[in-house]
Amino acid sequence: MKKVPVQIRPFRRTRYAYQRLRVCKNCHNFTVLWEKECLNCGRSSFIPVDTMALRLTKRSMQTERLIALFLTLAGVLFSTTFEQIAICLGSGIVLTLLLWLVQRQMTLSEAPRQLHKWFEKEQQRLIDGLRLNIEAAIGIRQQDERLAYEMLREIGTLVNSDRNRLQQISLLRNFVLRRDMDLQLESLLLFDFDEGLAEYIGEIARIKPELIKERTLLYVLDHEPEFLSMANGREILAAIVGAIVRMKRYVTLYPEFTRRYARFLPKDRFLRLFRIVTADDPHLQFSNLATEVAEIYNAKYQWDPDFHQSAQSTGQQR
Amino acid sequence: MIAYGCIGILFLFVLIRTILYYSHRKHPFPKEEIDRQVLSIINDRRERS
Ligand SMILES: [Zn+2]
Repeated sequence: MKKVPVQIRPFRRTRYAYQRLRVCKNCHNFTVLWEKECLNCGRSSFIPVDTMALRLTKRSMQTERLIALFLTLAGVLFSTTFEQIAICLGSGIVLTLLLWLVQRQMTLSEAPRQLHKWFEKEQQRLIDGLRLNIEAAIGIRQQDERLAYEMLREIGTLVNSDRNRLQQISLLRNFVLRRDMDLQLESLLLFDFDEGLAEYIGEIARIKPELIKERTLLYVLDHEPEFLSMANGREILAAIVGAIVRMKRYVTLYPEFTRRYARFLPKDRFLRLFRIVTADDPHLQFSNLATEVAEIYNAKYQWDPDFHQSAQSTGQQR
Repeated sequence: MIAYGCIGILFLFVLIRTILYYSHRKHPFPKEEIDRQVLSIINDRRERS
């Protein structure tokens, strides 16, 4: 299978997932993608849902002011003397103005509440909108794999489905991945074992080791036998260990896992592990990992000047 | 008298709305709650249908 070089757009991050949604002002169709024109009504009138929340808030406040004016008018109509008309009109206008002054300061604090009520009403439209998004992403896959991936990645921020993850993984496997890409790992983790995902984790371990974190390691540990049943499973696991020796924390947390693949590490990664293990740490000092590292050191690197330098420098620190 | 009744209702209306607005501002609605709501609409209901 030949991989294609692509330029993946950076991932847009938002504080809250719901803020990725936009809604059509015209027909209330939702989208999480970036299309200009509404697939439902054809107009280009999408606005972010937070903007929609402000509009809804302002509209409900306007209704309240109308009620206030209506009560004032009723008072005037039921008045029997000029004095009553003057009092009703005067106090009605003052009270409405007062209400307006209060409302003006409350638009922002009121908006999330309005949005919550509104989503409750719009459930079906929200589901239909996301469904249209998914169809669009799958439909474009044949013509433009990069775009399809970006769409699925965006949809995946709201839709929690292994099918979506598997599709993303299979698309990513067709791309030449580079370190400068805005790649994701934890959002793609599945429950079950998948060879494509295993390959992808191995690739990430090599090009972007900082993405290998706790959740990925738990996945790998859960499925270690399946990894090993792959033709290049051992290399993948060694690459993962090579990635976690960046952080002493992971080595301390998973010393047995590290030990099992220590002898397959390239020299620079092993040197890193060697330094972690030989530093003063009661957790590691007398562990099986320390024994294994000492054995590998004796067998392969005993006369290597890089290792001696490190031994000396740690010796001086003490 | 009905005229003053209307103004009385208006006064109460403005008063209650003002109290509600201030109490809402004091206890703002958490946006995390909206996230939870949206994710559960999309993921729970979509699977069922
Ligand atoms: Zn529309």
